[in-house]
Amino acid sequence: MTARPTPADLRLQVLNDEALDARHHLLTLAADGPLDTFEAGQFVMLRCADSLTLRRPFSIQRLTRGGGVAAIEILYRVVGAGTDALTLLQTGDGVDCLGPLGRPFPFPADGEVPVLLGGGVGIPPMAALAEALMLPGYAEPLVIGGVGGAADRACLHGLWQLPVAPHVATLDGSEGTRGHVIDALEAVWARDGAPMRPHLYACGPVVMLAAVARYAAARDLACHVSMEAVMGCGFGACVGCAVPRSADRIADGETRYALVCQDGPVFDARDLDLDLLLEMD
Amino acid sequence: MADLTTSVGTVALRNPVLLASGCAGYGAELDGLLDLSTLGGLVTKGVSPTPWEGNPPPRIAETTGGMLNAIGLQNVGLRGFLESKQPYLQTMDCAAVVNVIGRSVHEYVAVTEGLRGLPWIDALELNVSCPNVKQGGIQFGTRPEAAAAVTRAVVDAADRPVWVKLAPTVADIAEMALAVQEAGAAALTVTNTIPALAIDLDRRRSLLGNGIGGLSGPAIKPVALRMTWACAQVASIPVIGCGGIRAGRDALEFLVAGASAVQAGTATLVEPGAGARIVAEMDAWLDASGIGSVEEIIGTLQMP
Repeated sequence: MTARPTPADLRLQVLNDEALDARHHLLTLAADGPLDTFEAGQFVMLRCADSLTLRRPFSIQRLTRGGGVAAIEILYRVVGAGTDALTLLQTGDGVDCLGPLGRPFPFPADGEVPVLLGGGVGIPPMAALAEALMLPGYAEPLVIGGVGGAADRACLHGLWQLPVAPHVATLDGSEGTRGHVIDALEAVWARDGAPMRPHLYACGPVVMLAAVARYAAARDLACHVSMEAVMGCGFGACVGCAVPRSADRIADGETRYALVCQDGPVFDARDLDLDLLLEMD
Repeated sequence: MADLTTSVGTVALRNPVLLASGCAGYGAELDGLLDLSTLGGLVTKGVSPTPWEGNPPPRIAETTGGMLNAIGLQNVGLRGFLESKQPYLQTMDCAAVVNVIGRSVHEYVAVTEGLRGLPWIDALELNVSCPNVKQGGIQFGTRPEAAAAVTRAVVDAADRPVWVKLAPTVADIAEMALAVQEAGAAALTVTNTIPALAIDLDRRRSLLGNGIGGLSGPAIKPVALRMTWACAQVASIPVIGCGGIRAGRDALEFLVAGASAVQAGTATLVEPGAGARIVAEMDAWLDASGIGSVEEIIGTLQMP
């Protein structure tokens, strides 16, 4: 395992900002500096507008190299002042980007079959991971994207670019399996048979991650989750993006709360108390 | 290139810009993002005698022109600080100031004693002004006699100059400044965050897990400037201005108001390299103004 690159604070050129639907956009930025070596699961902090105090964290959907130009894709949902401002970006504009930040997804161990579960705007980093796992010697990942229905179907964008066919779960039953990502997973396994040693990777709303973590724990499956949090800085200075550790997994000298930016965003699901985090919301 | 060197009492500084406590971690977090040798100094995150777990999330909320935080002084405690944070701090090429927190006079003194004899520490900063922890200093920071008592106890236990970071929520900041000066403080940091509330209207609840938080950022700069000026008017010890500084001009305004140095806080969170940029902008303004030394402008404010 080589050392991860030091993040850099760079003004990146906007190559494109495309509205995928009324609420979802795909932002493509020139991947200068260390960004073209980002690892799946890492994130960036974008300064969406000078008028806003804080930057906002975004996961990276994938790296492209069309025409010899390295670029990163960021799929975002318009939810507030920061993402509102992003929609105003034009091709050629500059945007301050700090990254790549955080710990990436660990690769599966020998003999493990990766199972990727993404929910809503938690789907993009799973697309990045699926692409990273398309390597000789690794089992082909099982990829499942869960959305509510047509209104957030655009979140699946990254999965359609993959060489493997993704499975889809929709809460309204408009596409794929009706229900949550775990319902789709069980449907696939019921049909094709479950692998001996699946390794679950998940990113999505806390309620989904808590369910995936419980599912994995009940079956003693390896499971990594990627967390989202309101962040002040993204690099460990402000200690703002706290998530509670599991009481029995707090190592000597560690505090109750882990930091999403520095200790994560990817965690071994057993290390976090996601049910407590749900109660805190 | 103007002469940017200055000092806070006996602590010599390369330039007047320090990074404020809680916004620069323990230095290592900025490794590769900011050359610390461009700064006057860095104030660490607060250190308590034992680890503090901090407040439940969310701990951060953005507001117009600023942000609220309610971290709750999460930190690894004195032993963890010495074991895991000290190694980087002692190699840092700028003044190192350790921020000290506690729930009682005894706890402040315990941390202070644990920091004795460490040659890399240039000064201690006493936090008697965190608004986010019920027993985290603010009980000392709003009453002059209580602030003086904890200051005196820490000064007696310390082998370094003790700076005291004053709370903005006092009836008379000048009275507070004089009380801690009398108790032996070597400098005053003015000021900390302002207790504040941000509401999620749809859910009719606070945006912070702790309920209230502390407001920082450009929104508080005019408040901090007034308090810096008021303290500098009465105090004979140096004042360090802090509150919403994100540009060279902001820093220079605090110096004109009477500060000997400044601390940039929130700016670093938004832009890790902000400290270095602020120094460069100060230098450029001084050059453009034909001023040879930054110390020439300290306390030159003309008030009606």
